[in-house]
Amino acid sequence: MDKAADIIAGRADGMVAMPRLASLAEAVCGQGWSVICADAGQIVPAAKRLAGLFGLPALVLGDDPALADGTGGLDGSRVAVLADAIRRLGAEGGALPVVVLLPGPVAGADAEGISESAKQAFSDALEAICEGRPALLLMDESGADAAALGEMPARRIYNTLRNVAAYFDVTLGALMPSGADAETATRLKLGAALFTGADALPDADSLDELAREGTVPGLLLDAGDTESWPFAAQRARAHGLLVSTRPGGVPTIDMMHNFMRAAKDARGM
Amino acid sequence: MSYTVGIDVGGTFTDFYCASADGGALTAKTPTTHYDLSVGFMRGMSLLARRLKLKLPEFLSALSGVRYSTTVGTNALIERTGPKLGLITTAGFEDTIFIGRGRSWADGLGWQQGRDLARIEKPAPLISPDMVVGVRERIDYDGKVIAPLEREEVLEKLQTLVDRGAQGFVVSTLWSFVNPVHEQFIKQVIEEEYPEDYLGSMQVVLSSEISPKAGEYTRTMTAVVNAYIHGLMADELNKLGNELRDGGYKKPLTLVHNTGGTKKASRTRAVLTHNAGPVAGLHGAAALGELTGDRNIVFTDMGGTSFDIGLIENGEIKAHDFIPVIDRWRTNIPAIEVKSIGAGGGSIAWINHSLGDTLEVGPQSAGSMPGPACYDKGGKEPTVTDADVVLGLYNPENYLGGEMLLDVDLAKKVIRERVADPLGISVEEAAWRIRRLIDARMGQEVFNEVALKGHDPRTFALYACGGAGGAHAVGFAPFIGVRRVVIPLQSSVFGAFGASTMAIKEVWERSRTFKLFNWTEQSYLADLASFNELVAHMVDQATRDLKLEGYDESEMRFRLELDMRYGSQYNMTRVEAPKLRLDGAADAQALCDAFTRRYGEVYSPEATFPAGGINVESFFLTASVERTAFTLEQAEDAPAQPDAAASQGTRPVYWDPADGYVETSIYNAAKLRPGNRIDGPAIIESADTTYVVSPGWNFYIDPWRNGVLERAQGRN
Repeated sequence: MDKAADIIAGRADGMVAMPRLASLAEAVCGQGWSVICADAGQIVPAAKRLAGLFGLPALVLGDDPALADGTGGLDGSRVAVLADAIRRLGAEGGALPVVVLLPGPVAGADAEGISESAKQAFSDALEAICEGRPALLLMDESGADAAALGEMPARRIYNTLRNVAAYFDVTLGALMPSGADAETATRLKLGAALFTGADALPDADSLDELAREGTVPGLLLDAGDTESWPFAAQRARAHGLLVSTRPGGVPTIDMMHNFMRAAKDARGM
Repeated sequence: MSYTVGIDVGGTFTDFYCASADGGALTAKTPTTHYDLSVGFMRGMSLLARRLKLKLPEFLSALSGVRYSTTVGTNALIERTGPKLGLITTAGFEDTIFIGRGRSWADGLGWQQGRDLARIEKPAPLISPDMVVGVRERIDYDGKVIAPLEREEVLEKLQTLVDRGAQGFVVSTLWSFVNPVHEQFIKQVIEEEYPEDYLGSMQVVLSSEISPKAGEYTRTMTAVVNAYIHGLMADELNKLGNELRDGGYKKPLTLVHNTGGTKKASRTRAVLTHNAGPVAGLHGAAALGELTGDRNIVFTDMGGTSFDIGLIENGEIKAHDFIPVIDRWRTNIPAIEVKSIGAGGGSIAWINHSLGDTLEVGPQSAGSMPGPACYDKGGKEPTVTDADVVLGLYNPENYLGGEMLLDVDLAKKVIRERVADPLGISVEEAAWRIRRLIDARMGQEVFNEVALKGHDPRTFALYACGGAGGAHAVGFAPFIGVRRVVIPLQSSVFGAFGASTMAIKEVWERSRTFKLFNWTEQSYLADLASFNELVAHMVDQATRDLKLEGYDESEMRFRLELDMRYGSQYNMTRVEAPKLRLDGAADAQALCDAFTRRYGEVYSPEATFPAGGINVESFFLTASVERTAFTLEQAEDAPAQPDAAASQGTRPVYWDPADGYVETSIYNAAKLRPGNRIDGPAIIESADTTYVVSPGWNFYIDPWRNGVLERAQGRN
């Protein structure tokens, strides 16, 4: 488990598979993830249960559409619950690193761009969440416009968020949208960047360059994709690689077991 | 290759100075992570390793020493995270720590708060009144037991404290510094009732061990503060020690003491770590002064949160704070005096509406989180650094060597909203006023520390250290009339640098009154044996202690200082004793003459008062281990004209409202060589600091690569 934390922090080579399992909460825990996310006392056991069932090397929290406040910012009360859950996990001293997934500021912005109040909301949210010292904070920009992610307003907000996260020694990364390239991740100075689909993944040289710049690269695969693993495993020998699942789709429990089995087999290659 | 690292935790940044065995040096700065100091500590170590192109475990294994000035204890006091303690004292004196001494309710406050009589409050005590018990006992001034201590009563009072939830004990009885037998007895009883192998075993701190000096309030508070922060410090330092050990560093962690020495963390008293960083900086200035030939130095350190001031006279650090305040508590550790005020790069500019909308700067600081607005970490208050950025003095893309980008627009925004618009002035003028105000505050404090203590500041060299020292030296130096300012090469991490120059040293102290000279009888102390026995006992203790540090007696050096006074006066004067032993009247006379000379230096020869007789009140034995003299490579002078490659063009800088922004030459410090000279106005940028050379000043690099500012001829 230390290895997962080291890979996430860019200190070690290897692969960490951390699929999004929110949609399986109802089947495994008996309640929908959105309901669970309203109560820190429920988030902790649910996340542990899901991780335990599928053998995840990290606890994935957040991934809750209700975190977005509808005006481009984050819902303060929902963030407070999430921050509380992260603190509780920290107080327990658990062995699994915590990965937090939040709506991205660029994906949530409207035509006017990122407002001052949204920026403040994100800054406050990150401070609250990072106090609990999660291993990785991922901003979900998979729905953003790839070009917008490379522009100055995106760089400014990520500069702020990165400064806040860095104070707490938390790695800040993003789920990149289709069409985004390695240079975008480099310009945003991300600690981790996950690209959609093996085809959209930057080539090996670009991935290596990303790793040298201090960005741990990663892949977002379909839940049913078990064929991209050999490629992923090969890249993970050169540097760390994070693998998660694309948003959308409703994976089944069997699908997830196969996903994790394929990950394990690929690691053994 | 082996390395040593000095580390200094500041309010805003944690600084690192790494010296390699081949004479090279490297620095690093990281934001102080107040939530867990070890995070910033290890981050800095990682930075150093990366710059040396080593993996962290390789670097840690190659370290031969780590010297650490930590604020863990001070933070615990400020945040009140210490244990619930019980105090056992002489019956009838249970209220000593609540009454305090004189204006104790103003201790630790700035002068403005200290004078705000309508609103001032005593701080909540570290030990609540219900956790203080008195036992019937009495020992007199001579150490004679007048009222013996009864075991049954001690047990009864101990049980009271345990029932009320005590997690540790402080024992402080009257005159215990002369005869500690009752305090030792109480400790024995506690340890018999709660031996180490019991879960209920708790720490017991004796005032006679922590601070065997007169003054029951300060002695008790010294023991209380030590007990309060001991456990937390032990935990944090053990955790840090384990992290270092796991990472490959197998040697002891050494801590810097506020008494001017360093020792293994495992053999350090917690209370001696308070304010150690500025003391380390002062020692660094003394070490540097020995090389440059500066014997009289005003040491200043302007960091992100505080501005520290210390004095070096004739090459020596002489000033001690006899009863230093730690947080809000008056103690009596023999700390080196370094005055600190809340003035730094992170000091917040604000409008004081109670005083006719006056602009004020500090003492509040933005700290490292959120930091100045231009740090873009969520800060909404304008700070001195924001003002400097707006004025064009800092390069937003080259701050901390480019590791941190500054947002000028954010700086302008907060200055406009919080200062410029309320005052009806431009953003640039607001920034200029913020800078002038902070420089004036610092300059005034430096003047107070130098001139009001009997020194002529014009005979001193000003050493402007700290990350912001180079940028503000030209602002506060004129207030003391110095014409030469040295900005050391290591200025931005000067506390960490200073730690690396400090010797293994401990100060042992004891209060005992001896009438050295009796005016009426015109005779010197007859009982020299008692005097010598006391000093011999202290030397024994110190020798044993240094042996446990791993040193041989042949390496040890001892220096005796005495607090002395005229018989009918209150204030003490510290005097170095010519010898450790008094072998006869001639030696006693020599000591009296040394006191008379020193008294005359401090107060004037006309103020000496031998008719009062001369007393010795306290003994301070400094035990240290000889070390090799500190050296720095000295380079040969290059021509005065800098190489063309050193010039980085110009940028607009706002020097004065009358002139507005003026295109000003910018230089790269790394490309300047010793001997190069630059006339102001100019800005010289290095990875660690910025040297501001305002109009009327000149700048040159000395043979040790320090930056030196001099007043241009004809300018006052």
